Amino acid sequence: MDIVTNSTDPTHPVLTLDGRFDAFETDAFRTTIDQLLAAEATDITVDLRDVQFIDSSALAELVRAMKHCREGNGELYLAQLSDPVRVILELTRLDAAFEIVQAV
Amino acid sequence: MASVDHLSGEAITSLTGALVDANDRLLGLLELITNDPPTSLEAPQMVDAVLDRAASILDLDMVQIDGVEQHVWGRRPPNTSKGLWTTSLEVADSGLLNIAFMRGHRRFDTGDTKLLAAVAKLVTSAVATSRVHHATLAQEVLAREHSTAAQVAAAALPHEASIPTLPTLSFFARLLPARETGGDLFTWQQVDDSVWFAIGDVSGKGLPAAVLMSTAVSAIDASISRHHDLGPRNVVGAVDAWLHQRLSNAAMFVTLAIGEWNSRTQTLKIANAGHSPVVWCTQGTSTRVDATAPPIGVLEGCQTGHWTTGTNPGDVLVLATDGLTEQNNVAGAMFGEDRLDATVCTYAASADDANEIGERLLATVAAHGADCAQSDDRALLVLRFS
Repeated sequence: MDIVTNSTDPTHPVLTLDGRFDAFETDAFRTTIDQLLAAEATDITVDLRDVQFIDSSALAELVRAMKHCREGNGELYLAQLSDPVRVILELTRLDAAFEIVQAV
Repeated sequence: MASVDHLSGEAITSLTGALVDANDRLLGLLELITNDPPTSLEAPQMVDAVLDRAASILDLDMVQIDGVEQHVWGRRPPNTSKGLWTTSLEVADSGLLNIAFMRGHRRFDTGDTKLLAAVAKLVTSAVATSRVHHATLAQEVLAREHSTAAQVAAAALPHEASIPTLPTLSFFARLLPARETGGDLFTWQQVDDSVWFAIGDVSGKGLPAAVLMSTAVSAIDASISRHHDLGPRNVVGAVDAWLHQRLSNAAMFVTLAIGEWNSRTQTLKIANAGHSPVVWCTQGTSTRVDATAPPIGVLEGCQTGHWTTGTNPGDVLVLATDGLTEQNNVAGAMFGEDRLDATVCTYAASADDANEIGERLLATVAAHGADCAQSDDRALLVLRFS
């Protein structure tokens, strides 16, 4: 999976993910999130339009990122959900836990 | 044999010196390539052993290595840079190793550079050997972790011999672990007139998931024992109270569906926190028992709803994990949610007991994933009411 970070606004960077988001990708995602939060970021948007598959390990990483943002009085926004991601979030009712937005 | 009569004494001395030097180099090279077996398989020690021997032939001051391995050998940095020879070699598909040999007091001549090239190959070989050793060690550690995780998982789950036996209910339970253990779980209990059952999936894989799965099963069993008179929703709440902080600290969650079937009132109640698929099949049609709250460990104070129905003979409830629905075939297509629902309905219509439905369903998923690795644990509970 590719992770592209746009930090035009360093307090609210946008991560664009592309590919399969599974247990093999969680370390890279966690490192990226932790580096952003250790810098200036308070809010983070994760653009999921190009994620073709997401598993429970990846969902747990999103939950972790959400909690860390909220601990700093920020928010993790999930944007432009692809169909596979939207289905999993609905099936697990995680859509009730995340802030989901239509556009980045 | 050529005559040396015409050479001056000085030339003969010089030539003799060169021949002795060449002979020393050959002996040194022999020493380099016929050394004792390494006492360590760590790259720095192996490289040092090569360079210690090479230094006695080439009078090296310092050797700097970077690229896939970073290391400095040297008694002292050279005062001048008269002798500097560099090379880059590939280390067994891992990347390049850049090596710089330094000698301060004189330049490297043609003979030196040929020897240095041989030493560079020995250094590269030492680094490659060490990397293979570490890769083998890592695989061994992973294999042991998988084995331990599988043992932890197997010990946590109830044995099939304890499956509830009632004249009006047939009950099937099976867990097929993947090569890398996931966190799939199930459990059950008979309490008075009720059969309680639960299925779930801890996020992640390997030993952490297996350990938390074991904790989750204990929490579910204890919560059913203590709170069964309050219904599944409160039992899920009790499990959440027990597990939320532990899961949250570990950046994990568990999907969980807990149900109670009362054999006297023929009533089924299910509370679902983030779990899928749960399929209810009655009179030839299937319905999903959807989650009404996120998985446990996500939001503190998990509040699910209750899904309730009366049961009739022939009705079937299937609770599975995503190892069934997400199994790929060789073309990369998942078994899928819709196919699971349709398959459950088809088998429910023709089978007389839960065992037949469960076995056929697992066989169908296995056939779909034939020639592909099992990507995740497959856990399955089937209840058929009669």
